[in-house]
Amino acid sequence: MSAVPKIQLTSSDGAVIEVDRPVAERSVLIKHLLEDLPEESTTEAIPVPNVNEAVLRKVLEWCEQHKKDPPPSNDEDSESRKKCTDIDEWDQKFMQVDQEMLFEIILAANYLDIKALLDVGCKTVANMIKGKTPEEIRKTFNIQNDFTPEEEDQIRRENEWAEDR
Amino acid sequence: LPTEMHLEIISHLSIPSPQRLQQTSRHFCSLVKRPTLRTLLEEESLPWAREQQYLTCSECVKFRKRSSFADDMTVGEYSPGCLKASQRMCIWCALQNDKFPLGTLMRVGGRTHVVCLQCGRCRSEIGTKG
Repeated sequence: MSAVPKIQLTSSDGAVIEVDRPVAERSVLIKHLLEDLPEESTTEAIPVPNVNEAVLRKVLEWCEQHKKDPPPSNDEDSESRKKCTDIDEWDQKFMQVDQEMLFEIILAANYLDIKALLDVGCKTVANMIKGKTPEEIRKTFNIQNDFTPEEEDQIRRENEWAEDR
Repeated sequence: LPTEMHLEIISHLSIPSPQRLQQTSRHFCSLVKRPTLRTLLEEESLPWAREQQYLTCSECVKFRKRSSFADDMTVGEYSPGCLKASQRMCIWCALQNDKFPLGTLMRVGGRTHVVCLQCGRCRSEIGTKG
């Protein structure tokens, strides 16, 4: 059996990371890039200009864990899948990072086109919003309240229906 | 995060979270759209909505608690996912639209209610004045 082919990625801050090709191919961007490259040039490091080393390593750690996942099904926009904010245990642990890192992972997943990781990231943020009052949400994400008192009161009244009553 | 990512996150939220997020700032206020009747009707069949006893009023296009509907509006063809769910109306909207003439009797949460002859509001006891 032949060895798993390896490729190299260069992070935005210049770190070269070697990784199994199938792992890197969880990224649709990299997968398509590799498909377009002639065989001999896949030995050159591929630059990933939008992602720094720490984030890239984290993303690749996720790709390694999920390299055997089946490809996503086609009903990817079905409402129930979106609203379901359950996250598997490994992913939950993986996402226990500070908010800045969490947002960096989401941006990287979006840029590298790793749909499943983007989903996990967004669901993690969604879970941080769930069950919180507007004031608690502001505090959690450092959101500036730029409503006038009148506007705030109006928007609160418009949304009263969504609250328990 | 860019707006595009905010929208992605919002797509994972269910009522009332988007509505609460909407109340945090002008930016999020503009991002969160009012749910459509179709969205509400789809969502009222989901476990969380059943748990919260949410039903859709097709007139005000809002989720309301089961206790805001006449019992007839919550069963049979008017049940979530059934044929007439999209015509269900909450008591307030029904009154506004003159669907319940004064003196109409109905059951709400198993108790008899009446539309008061004097004030035109829905009352839980027959014979009381509004």
